[in-house]
Amino acid sequence: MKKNLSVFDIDDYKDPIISIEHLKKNFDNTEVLKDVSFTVNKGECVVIIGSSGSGKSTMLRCINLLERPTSGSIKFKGIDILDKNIPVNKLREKVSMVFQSFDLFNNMNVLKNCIIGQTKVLKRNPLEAKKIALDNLTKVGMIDRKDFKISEISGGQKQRVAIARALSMSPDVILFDEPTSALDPEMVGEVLGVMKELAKEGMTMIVVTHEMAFARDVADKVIFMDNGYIVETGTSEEIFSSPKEERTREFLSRYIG
Amino acid sequence: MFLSNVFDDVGSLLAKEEYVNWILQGLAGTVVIALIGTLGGLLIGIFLAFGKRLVIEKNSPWYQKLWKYPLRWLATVYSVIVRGTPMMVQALLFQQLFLLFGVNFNNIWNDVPVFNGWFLAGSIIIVLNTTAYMGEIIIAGLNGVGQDQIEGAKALGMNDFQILIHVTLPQAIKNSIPTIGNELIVNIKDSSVLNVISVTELFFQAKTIAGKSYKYMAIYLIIAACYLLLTLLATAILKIVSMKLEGKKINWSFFHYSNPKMKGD
Ligand SMILES: Nc1ncnc2c1ncn2[C@@H]1O[C@H](COP(=O)(O)OP(=O)(O)O)[C@@H](O)[C@H]1O
Ligand SMILES: [Mg+2]
Repeated sequence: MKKNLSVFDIDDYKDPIISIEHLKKNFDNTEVLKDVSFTVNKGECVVIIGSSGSGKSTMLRCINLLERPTSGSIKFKGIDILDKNIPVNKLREKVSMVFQSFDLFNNMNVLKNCIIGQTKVLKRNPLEAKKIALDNLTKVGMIDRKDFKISEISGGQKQRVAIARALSMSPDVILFDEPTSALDPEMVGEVLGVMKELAKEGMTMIVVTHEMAFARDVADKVIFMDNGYIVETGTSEEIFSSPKEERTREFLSRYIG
Repeated sequence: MFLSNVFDDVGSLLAKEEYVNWILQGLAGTVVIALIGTLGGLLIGIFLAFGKRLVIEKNSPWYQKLWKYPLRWLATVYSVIVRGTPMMVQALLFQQLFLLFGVNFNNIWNDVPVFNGWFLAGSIIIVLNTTAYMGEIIIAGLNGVGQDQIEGAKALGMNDFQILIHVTLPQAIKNSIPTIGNELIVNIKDSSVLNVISVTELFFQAKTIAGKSYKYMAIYLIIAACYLLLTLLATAILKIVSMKLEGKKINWSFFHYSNPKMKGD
């Protein structure tokens, strides 16, 4: 197997795997992230909640550098990823992302979607890549649709393929940005089920979602964001049963009633 | 009376083996030069599209700006000039330019039927001309690929070149096949202007035959039928190709092609 070792191929880093300090992000003159700090340990499932426009997506996209922060620091395995010399694509190999809009490639079938990143980015040989892709499609329950075009499968199925594609890169962390928000209600369950399974297996995940039941059941840590700040952080028990902040209570009352 | 005369003339022209051979040569010339123009133009048009779409950010390093700005400017200027002038004039300018440097296409492969020096010159012109239109088509195709797919590719760690080759360009080309096909049809017809530099295509041959036989109406009717046959055939083939690509069953109602005047707009 051909392997392209990079700065991020280290196993003996100390927790936290991700540590974010005083993160700020401006778009032109608007401050979207004002001061965000938190850490994620290996194997944790961190769920981020908050009303729309509060900066959740922007924060998530800073972690794989789809957005470049204005200031602050982000460390992945102890390495400062905002350093200009860090190869962005090496980081993205390790930090996969699943989007609200699936973002699958329409010119490839389901299987090819899960292979292309492995062969082109990780330089895995095609046979090995195919095996890994098939394993992950099996895991998300999409193996019987492996030869389908993207236009031929449902939204829930697309999102499960997107998860298989992310998994196939063998990442250290997967970022989920509202993975079920674009789905019809009857398809939400199948996607959350797969995510729950991943969390159980110890995949490190950061999940932005409005699915409060999922957050309550699965999250090791819940972060409530509002207006560019983290208002409150705690275990799911702490946030859902005894939130300390008035704004958290108000937000949750809108979702849980 | 008049019509029967014309049909008699058509018959007498087609009875002459020499004329029929010239018409067939003209057909070959037209088909080959239209194909060269379309395929060559597509290939170079892809690069023209890259040139016009070069992204230059405020904080790009100076050495990138040093080549990106001139290249983008050049691609844009090329596209504007070529699309803004008639191919006939381009052909004549091309001819004069080469004469200036002492190159006369009369002296190249002048003993080969059809595929002589002028055919070479005509091929270069039609490729350069079609490139400008293909550039626009590819740009529209690239812009049509959703930003979400580009983000998906970026998030996998693909670089800009990999995204282009594996994600955006294949979709841009596939989605543009109808418009690319229209360029072929336009080229079949518009290659006739290359008669001004003596390219042995259908119209050039017709003019020669007309000059010898004085049967103007008859010969122009004959080549009109030839052009129609070629464009209908091309339309049919393109339809099969695009239906194959979409994995649809082939529908045999060919004889209406949409938007045939692509080059003009
Ligand atoms: N690329 C951008 N340019 C300008 N403003 C943006 C951009 N992306 C997001 N924003 C703004 O940042 C704010 C936070 O957006 P976002 O991070 O998407 O919030 P959330 O995901 O919590 O809904 C919004 O007001 C949004 O309009
Ligand atoms: Mg969002």
